[in-house]
Amino acid sequence: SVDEYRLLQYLKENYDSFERPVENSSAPLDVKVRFLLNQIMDVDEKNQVMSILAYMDYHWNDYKLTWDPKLFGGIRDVRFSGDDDASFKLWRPDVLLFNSVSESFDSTYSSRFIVSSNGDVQQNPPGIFRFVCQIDVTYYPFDKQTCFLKLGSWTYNGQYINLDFLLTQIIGLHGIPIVVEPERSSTNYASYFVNESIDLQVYLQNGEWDLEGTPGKRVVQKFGTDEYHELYFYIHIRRRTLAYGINLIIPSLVISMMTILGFTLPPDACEKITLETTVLLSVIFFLQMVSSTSPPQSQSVPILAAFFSCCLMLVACSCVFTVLTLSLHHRKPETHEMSPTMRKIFIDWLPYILCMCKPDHPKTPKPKVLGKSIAPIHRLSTIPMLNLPRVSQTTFPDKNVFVYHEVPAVIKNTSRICAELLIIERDIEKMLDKIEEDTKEDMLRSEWRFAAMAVDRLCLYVFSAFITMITCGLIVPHILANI
Amino acid sequence: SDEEYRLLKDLREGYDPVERPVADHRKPVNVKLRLILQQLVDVDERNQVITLVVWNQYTWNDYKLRWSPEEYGNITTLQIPHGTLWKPDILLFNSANEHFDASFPVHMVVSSNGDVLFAPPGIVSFSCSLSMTWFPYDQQVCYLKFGSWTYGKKLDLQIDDSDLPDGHKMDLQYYIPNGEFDLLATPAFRKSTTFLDETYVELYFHMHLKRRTMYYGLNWIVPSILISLSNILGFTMPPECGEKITLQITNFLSVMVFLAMVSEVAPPTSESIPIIAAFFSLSIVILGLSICASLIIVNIFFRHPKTHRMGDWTRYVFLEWLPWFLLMSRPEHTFCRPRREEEKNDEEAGGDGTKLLENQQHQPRPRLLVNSQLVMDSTVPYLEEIIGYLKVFKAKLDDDEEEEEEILNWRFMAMVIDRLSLFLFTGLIFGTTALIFAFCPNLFTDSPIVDIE
Repeated sequence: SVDEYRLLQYLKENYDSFERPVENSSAPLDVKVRFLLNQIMDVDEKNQVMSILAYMDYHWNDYKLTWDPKLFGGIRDVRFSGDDDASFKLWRPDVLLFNSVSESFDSTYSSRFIVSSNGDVQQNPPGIFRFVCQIDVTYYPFDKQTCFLKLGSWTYNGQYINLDFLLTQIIGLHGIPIVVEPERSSTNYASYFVNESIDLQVYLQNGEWDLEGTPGKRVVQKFGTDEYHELYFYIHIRRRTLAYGINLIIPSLVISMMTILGFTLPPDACEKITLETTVLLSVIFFLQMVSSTSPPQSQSVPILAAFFSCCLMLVACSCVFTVLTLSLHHRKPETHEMSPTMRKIFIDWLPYILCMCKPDHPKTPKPKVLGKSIAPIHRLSTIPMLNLPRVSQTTFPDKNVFVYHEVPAVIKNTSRICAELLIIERDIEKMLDKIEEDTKEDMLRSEWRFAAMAVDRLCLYVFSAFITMITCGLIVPHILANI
Repeated sequence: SDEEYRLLKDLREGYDPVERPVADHRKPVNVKLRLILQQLVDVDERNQVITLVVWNQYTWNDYKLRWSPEEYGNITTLQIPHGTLWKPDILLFNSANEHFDASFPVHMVVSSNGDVLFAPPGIVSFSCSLSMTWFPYDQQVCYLKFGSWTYGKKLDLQIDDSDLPDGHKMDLQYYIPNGEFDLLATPAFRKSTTFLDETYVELYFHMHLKRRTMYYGLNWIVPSILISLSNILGFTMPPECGEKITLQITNFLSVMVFLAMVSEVAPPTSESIPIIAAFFSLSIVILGLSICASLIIVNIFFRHPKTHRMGDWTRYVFLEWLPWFLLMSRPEHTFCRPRREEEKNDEEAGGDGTKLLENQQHQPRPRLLVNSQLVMDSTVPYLEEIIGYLKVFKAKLDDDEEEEEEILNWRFMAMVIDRLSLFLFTGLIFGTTALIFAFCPNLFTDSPIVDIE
C-alpha cells in the first residue's frame, strides 16, 4: 500500500546496516536470546556430535526504526528481508554457536526481521544445529548424556552488546508453563544459573532419547579489561532402552546361557570344542556390534562391551578347561597311571564336595566275580596229588585176570580224560584271567572318566557363579536403576 | 527492446521489495502453493529423514506489477531476477536440510495482470517419524509442513490443487516411481495455529507410502524360515554322528547375523520395535532352548550304567508311556504289554535250570559199576572245577549283557526325548511364525488412507 511504501522509504533514510543501533555509542545494546527446541535429530555417539532442529529468537531495540503509526495509516509492524542478497539490510547481532561442527559454521537460515513501531526488532532464525557433545558411553545402553550449546557474540564484547537470556515465561515439557528465576552467584552478579532455559512448546518427542531437563547458565567472563557474555543451554537426555533390550540384552543373556551349558555336554559326543568355539564366535560378533556404536576412545569403556569382554574371557577359559576335560576323559591305563594323590583328589575328595555319587556304588556285583575266580585256583593245587595214588592203589589189589585185562584200558582212558580236562581247565583259567584283567582296565578307565566328569561338574559350578556375578554386577543394577 | 526497458523502468519506480503487495495494508496477501513432486530420492529409516526432488510453485498477485500490454508493445510476461521483488517467506518447517531452505533461487514470471509465478526447485530433506513396527510390511505417512515464518494473518496461504486427481494434492505428472516405496496418496490439509501470540497458517502435505516387500521377503524372510526348518531337522540327527549341537549352534549364529542386519536398517528407537526384529529375537530364544534340549538328549544318550542308574519312574515314563504316546516302535519290543513279557522271562529261566540237573543224574548209570566208580573218582574233581569256571564266565557274560541292555535303554530314552523335542519345537516355530505374521495388518490390504487429520 502507499502508506507502507512511504513508511519504508522513511525508515530507509539515514540507515546503515553496519551501525550498531544505539543512540549513545558508549551504551551497550541489550540483546535477548530465546531458544526453542523442535527436534533432537541425531546423537552420533561415534563422532560425538548432536544434531537438533531449533529456532533462535533474538530481540533488540533499534532507535532508528521507530515511527508514529498514526502518520502511516495505522501500520504497527513491518517485515524486512534477512537474505544476504537483499537490497536493504538491517543490522543484526553476530551471535554464533561456539561449539558448532557444521560445514557452514553458522547453520541458521536468515529469516525475516519483524520491526515494531517502537523500534523493537525480532528475528526467529531456524536452523539445524550440529555441535560437539561429550558422549559418555560407560552405561550404554542405559546411559544419560548432557550436551550444551554455547552461544555468544563473535566480535562484540560486553561493552557493545549485553547478551542475556529472554527470561519470560518458558513452556516446558507437555506444554506446562515454567517460571524461570535466575540464581545469581555471590561473587559475580552478572552470571547466573536457571533451571530451565529452552522453550519446548514446539518440541517433538524423539524415539531414541527422552528429554529430561534443559538448564541454562549465563557466564560473564573477563579477558583483560574486556568482559565477554556467553550463554550456555544444557540438554539432559536419557536413552530409551526398549530397542536395545530386544537387540542386545536378550541375545547376550542367551549367549551367557550357552557358555554354561557347554559343560553339561558329555565328552563322547565329540562336540564340546565345537560348541565352545561357536559361542566364542558369537561373543566376538556381538562385541563388534557394541564397539561399532561407541566412539573409539579410551576414556570410558561401555558396560555392555565390558560384559561381552568378560564373556569372551570366560568362553576362552571354558575352551581351555574343555580341552583338559577331554584329555582326562580319553586317558587309558596303557598310557597313564593315576597317582595316589590324584586319585585322592579327583576320585574321593572332589566328588564329595560336589555331591557326586562314586562309581563303586553301582558296581557291587563285581567283587563277587573276583571272589569266585580266586577259589578255583586254590582247589586246583590239591586235587592232582590225591588222584594219582588212589588210581595206583585200587587197581593192583583188586581182581586178577578179568581186572588185569580191563585195568590198562580204563586207566589209560581215565588218564587221557583227566589230561584233557586239565587242559580245558587251564584254558578256562586263562580266559578268566583275561576277563579279570579287562575288568581292571575298565575300572581304571572309568576312574579317568569319572575324574573328567568331576572336573566338568566343577567347571559348571564355577562358570555358572562367574556368569551370574557378571550379569548381576554389570547389567541388572543399571536395569533396576533406570526403571 | 525499448518497450521492455520502458516497462521495467516504469515498474521499478515506486516499488520496494520489502513492501507487502496489497493495496490496503490491512488485507492479507493471497498466496497459493502447489507442490510438483519429481522424485522420491531416499527414505533413511535409521535417521528418519526423507529426501525428495520437489518444485514449490507459489502464485500471488502484486498490485504494483500491472500494466497494459498495448502500451508496451504487447508484452504480456516478464522474467524478473530473484531478490528484486517481494516474495513470501514460506518455509518447510520440518526441514532436515543443512541450510534449512533447500530451494534454488530462480527467476519470477510476472504477468500483465499482476500475477507472479515463482517455482523454485529443490532437493528437500525433511524429518518423518517412521514407524518401523511392521517393517518390512509397513506403510508410512509423512508430511511436509509449509508455512510463513514471520507473516501471520497478513499472508493467506492456500493449497493450489486445481486439475489434480482425487486423493492427490501434489502434482504428480512428472513423478518418477520409486523402487522401494509405492506412493499411494498425497492428501493435504490447511491448519491454523497460534505461535508467539500470532495466528499462523500451515499447510500439511501428506505422503502415504507403502514399502515394496519383494526384496526383504527374498533376502530376509525366506532365509530365516529356512534356518528355522534346518533347526527342526537337528532333532532327527542321532547323537553318535557328533554334529547335532554343531548344526544348531551354527543356526544360532546365523539368526544373530540377521538380527544385526535388522539393527543396521531400523532406527534405534524405543517407540516401536520392528516385528521382524522381535521375530529374530524370538528365534534366538527358541534356538537357545533347542540347544538346551539337544544338550540334554546328548547327555542322556552317552550315559552308562557304571555312572547312572535309571529309576523305575523314569523307566516307566520314558521307556513305556512316551514311546506309546509318540507312536514309536522298538525292535523285539511292544509297548502297552509290559507284564506278559516279564512272566515269559521268568518261565524260561526256570525251565533251563531243571533240564541241566536231570542230565547230570542219568549219565553215570549205563556204565559198569566198578569202572564207572573209578572213572568218576578220577574225573569229578576236574569237572567240578570246570563247572565252577564256566559259572563265573556265565555270570560275567550275564553282567555284560545286562549292562549292554541298560546302555540301549539310555539311548532309547534319548531317542524318545529327541522325538518329543522334534514335535515340540516344530509346533513352537510354526506357531510363533504364524502368530507374528498374522499380526501384520498391511500384509493383505492395499487400500490407501485418504482421511488423515
